[in-house]
Amino acid sequence: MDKPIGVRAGGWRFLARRWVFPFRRTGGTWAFVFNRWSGVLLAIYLYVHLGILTMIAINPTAYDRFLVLARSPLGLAFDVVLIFLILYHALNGLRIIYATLAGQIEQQRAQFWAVVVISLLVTGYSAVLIFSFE
Amino acid sequence: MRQVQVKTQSRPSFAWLGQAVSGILLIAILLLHMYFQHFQTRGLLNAAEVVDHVTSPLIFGLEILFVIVVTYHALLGIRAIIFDLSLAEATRRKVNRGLTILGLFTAGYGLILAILIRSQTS
Amino acid sequence: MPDTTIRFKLFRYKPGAIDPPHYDAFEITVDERTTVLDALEIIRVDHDPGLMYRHSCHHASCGTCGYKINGQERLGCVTNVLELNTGEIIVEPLDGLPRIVDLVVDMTEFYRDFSPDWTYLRDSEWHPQAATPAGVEQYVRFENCIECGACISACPVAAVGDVYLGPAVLAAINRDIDKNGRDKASLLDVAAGERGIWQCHSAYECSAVCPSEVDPAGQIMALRRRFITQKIERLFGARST
Repeated sequence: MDKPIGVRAGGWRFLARRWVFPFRRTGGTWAFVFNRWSGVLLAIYLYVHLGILTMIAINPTAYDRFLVLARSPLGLAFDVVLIFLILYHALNGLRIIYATLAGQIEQQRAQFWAVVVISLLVTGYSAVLIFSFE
Repeated sequence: MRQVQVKTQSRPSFAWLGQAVSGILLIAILLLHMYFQHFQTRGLLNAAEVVDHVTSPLIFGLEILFVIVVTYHALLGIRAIIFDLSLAEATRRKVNRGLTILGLFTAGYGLILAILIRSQTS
Repeated sequence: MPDTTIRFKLFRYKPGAIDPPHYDAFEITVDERTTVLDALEIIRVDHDPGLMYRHSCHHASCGTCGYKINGQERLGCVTNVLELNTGEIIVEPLDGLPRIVDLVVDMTEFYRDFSPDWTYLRDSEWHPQAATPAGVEQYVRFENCIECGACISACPVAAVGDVYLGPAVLAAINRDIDKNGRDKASLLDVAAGERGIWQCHSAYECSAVCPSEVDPAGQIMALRRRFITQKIERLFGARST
């Protein structure tokens, strides 16, 4: 029989407090939570993207109709958010690999904020490009 | 020392190292994908343009590699989240089997999709 | 500095009596020297003799008075109330360990994961040039870890489930490898097993909350490097040291 989740400290509500809304925790937990959520959202997007590409194979006209939505400001804004998720997840992953190889845990908070800032800056630049293309 | 019996694989490091290596690969692949498929093209391509683009062996190969590596990385990540829930060994084995099947299906689907799209070249 | 009144919200739980748990509020007058543990004692003596909490040394060397104070794991005996800079202080038991009553958690499983074979002494660095008395080779001291459980509570993995050995145990393993090279291979096997270092997801909360400079996250990363180095050495046929 499976051991219930977090049985000693409140089950699903406790899990939500630690893995979804970690208020009052330090930046390290927030980095972990953002990494998880960006990963989960990107994993979902993988299947959404495969679904969209399927339209090219089976109904190219439907895909071209979908492009009207994709090229709308809402669609482009979605792409900008997607780029931020990718950038954060990738850079945070590199930060974790670097920490494993180099240690220096005391630098982790600064590195986390560097990841966030770089992700935002590159996302901003990408947003300018994306909106200028369409 | 007390040991909770949780033996589902003999090398748990493989998951972490696999995640790290595929992640680094993905950064390179993603940069190429974003450049060739979105930024060099200066925006989203319509269906005919996508088909035309995928005829290039380089682009085709890149997209196949992309779907394989991203599926591996994504499902290893999902596995890591599920395994943090302290499930029983039997459930962990089922999760491993299920995610392996899902991964093979996803990568296979991506490969077939790429071939189908490429075959639409007139 | 004049005395200040601070509101304390304390987690209350007594199986069969206060169940489900709730929070009780108390207003306590504190001065610049009052610690959270002092406040708990004031509450127990003057307001609610039924309040239960652990404490012992009152100077951060026993690890007994670990609580969550405003959501952060700390030792109550060295957490100054006014330095928290807030008018309301919430005190809760540590996460990740079974609750017994009020602020008291069951540390049994946590202690069980520490092997009695591991050494808890290390060379002292306090008096490197001091001459030792006759018959004493080296000054020694206790390891930094006071087994307070703060790292378990702070860890988003260890607090949720019981598979992961947790930061304290893994840090102890790395320290033991540092000191006892002869057991390195078997210790590394334990550390790199299903319950070990690969379960860490790099939140580094353990090092952030550790009151005793153990740096468990750094120790876990060091174990990973040891493991990777060992694998590379074996791959190239070098004898593992």
